[in-house]
Amino acid sequence: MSAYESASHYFQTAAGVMDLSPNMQKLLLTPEREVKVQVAMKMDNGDIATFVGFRMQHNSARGPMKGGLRFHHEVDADEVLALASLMTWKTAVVDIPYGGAKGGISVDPRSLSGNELELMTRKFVDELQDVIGPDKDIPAPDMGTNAQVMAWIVNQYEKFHGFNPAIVTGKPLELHGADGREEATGRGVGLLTEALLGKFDRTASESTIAIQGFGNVGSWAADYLHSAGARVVAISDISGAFYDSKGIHIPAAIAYVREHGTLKGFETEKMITNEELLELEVDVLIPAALGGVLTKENAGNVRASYIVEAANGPVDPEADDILQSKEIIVLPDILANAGGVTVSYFEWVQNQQYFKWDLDRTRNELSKKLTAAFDKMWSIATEKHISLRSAAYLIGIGRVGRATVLAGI
Amino acid sequence: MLPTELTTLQVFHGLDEPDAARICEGLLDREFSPGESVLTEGDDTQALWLILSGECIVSRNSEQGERILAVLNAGDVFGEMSFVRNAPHSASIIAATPLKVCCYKREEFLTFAAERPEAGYMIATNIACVLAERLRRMDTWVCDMFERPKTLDDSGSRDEWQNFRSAVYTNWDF
Repeated sequence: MSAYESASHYFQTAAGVMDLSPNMQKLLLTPEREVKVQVAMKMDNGDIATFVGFRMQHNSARGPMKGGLRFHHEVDADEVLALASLMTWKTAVVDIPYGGAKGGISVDPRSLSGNELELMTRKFVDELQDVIGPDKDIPAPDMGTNAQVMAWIVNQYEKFHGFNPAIVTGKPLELHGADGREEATGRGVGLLTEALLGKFDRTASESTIAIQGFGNVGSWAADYLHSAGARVVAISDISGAFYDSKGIHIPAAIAYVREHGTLKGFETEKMITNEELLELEVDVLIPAALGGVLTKENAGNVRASYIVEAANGPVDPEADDILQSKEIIVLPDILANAGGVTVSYFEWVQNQQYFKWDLDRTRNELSKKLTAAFDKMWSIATEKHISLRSAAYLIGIGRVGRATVLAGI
Repeated sequence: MLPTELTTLQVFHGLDEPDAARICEGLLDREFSPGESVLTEGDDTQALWLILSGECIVSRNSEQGERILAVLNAGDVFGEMSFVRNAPHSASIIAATPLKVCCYKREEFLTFAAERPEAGYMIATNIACVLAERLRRMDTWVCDMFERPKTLDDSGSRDEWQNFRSAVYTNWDF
């Protein structure tokens, strides 16, 4: 099932609970603007290359649109649109004053030299600079883009519009980035995992955890939970999964990756496969790598009690039904990984105010935002006897709906 | 039509018998069967129509299709708008039952009014009263249209918006 199909399915489930008419669903799902541009450039070897770039601006009822830019060879209009609508619900769930957007270029960035990547980014900004802006649409890093790419975007945008650090978030610290932005998504996953366990009178220190994916999100989540006393028994990356029944020493694993660029060769009790990791008998399973890792084929084998969706869309709708029937609690992606966009918002606020926060303040505000969102989701789910996912979508759709009703069309 | 009958109609109310008799001479009797068209919206016949017996429907074409504005009976008049002002008919008239009407042409009235200005003034005032009454009804309609969205049982085009409003407000605490 594609990202687009999954997103529509979850939207429709929630819209059904709310009894929204088909026309109103259409109003909420149709993007405000779809931009598709040509990005043409001279390559290092003299060839002319032409790429296709997108920016899908889904909804601005609650504020300027916000969402990542991805450079990936599988970027296509449908997927970007689905992700843009997810951003609309996500920013509403954590109650930050943004709408939703997403964009990217269909290209494998590893096939480009550093110069080519920079040139392509700048050409893309030339095409988009009219439709983005600190009060219109604020891009951020995503798959295949990073703080360096954001720095190029700011620089190129400022050639047209003057000093404007708030045009993107996820910038380098030296160029108006925010302390705590890098750890934010993983930290949010950790905070929310603790909040979820707390609802069942459990603490992190008496829980076992398996994390699939040890990139930015997985490693920061592991670090947070390890510090909170949890026993992280399995971690993984593309080289395989690493298991230790006594718990993996996470700071050592992070140091190892920093040195070697991969977990390959890291020593633990035993190696298992990424598939086996998903089926471990642990308290919490955190898929933090790719979408669609839990499907109807393997959802029945999951033995964890709780799943925290750190990645976007790791559980497809069919697997979601199976997990629900097994009474496995799923903390949905639109809240679970919203720590990133929340601290992006803090970065934008600091840029708009020309005032830099210290790390403690960022962490504090992040915790307040995510806890409030979690509590609201939990109370609606228990009150209406619906899943956490439906509750989160309901809140997102409801808040966007209220803004739409108040403003009119 | 007898002059005494004529003066019972609002438009000719207050005329003395010789004047009423003079007007009766100028009336043309017409008959229509059910479903037959009497006047078509946009046509340009300048005459005042008096219903002697039967029933007819006043309708108008809109974007949503044919809209019925009113049903008229014996004693009612129609065509008065294009009678006083040289303009095409603003609505269509269709016979709903066997319909007997008589038609008073604008030229007849102009000739009559030139000879009998006092009686002509009386008829013109009566027509103004009919139009004023219609305008008053129109005001009520317009007010109703603006009031309607405030109620939930509105069956107009704003229904869906109201349902959406209650879907996001009434049942949930976000």
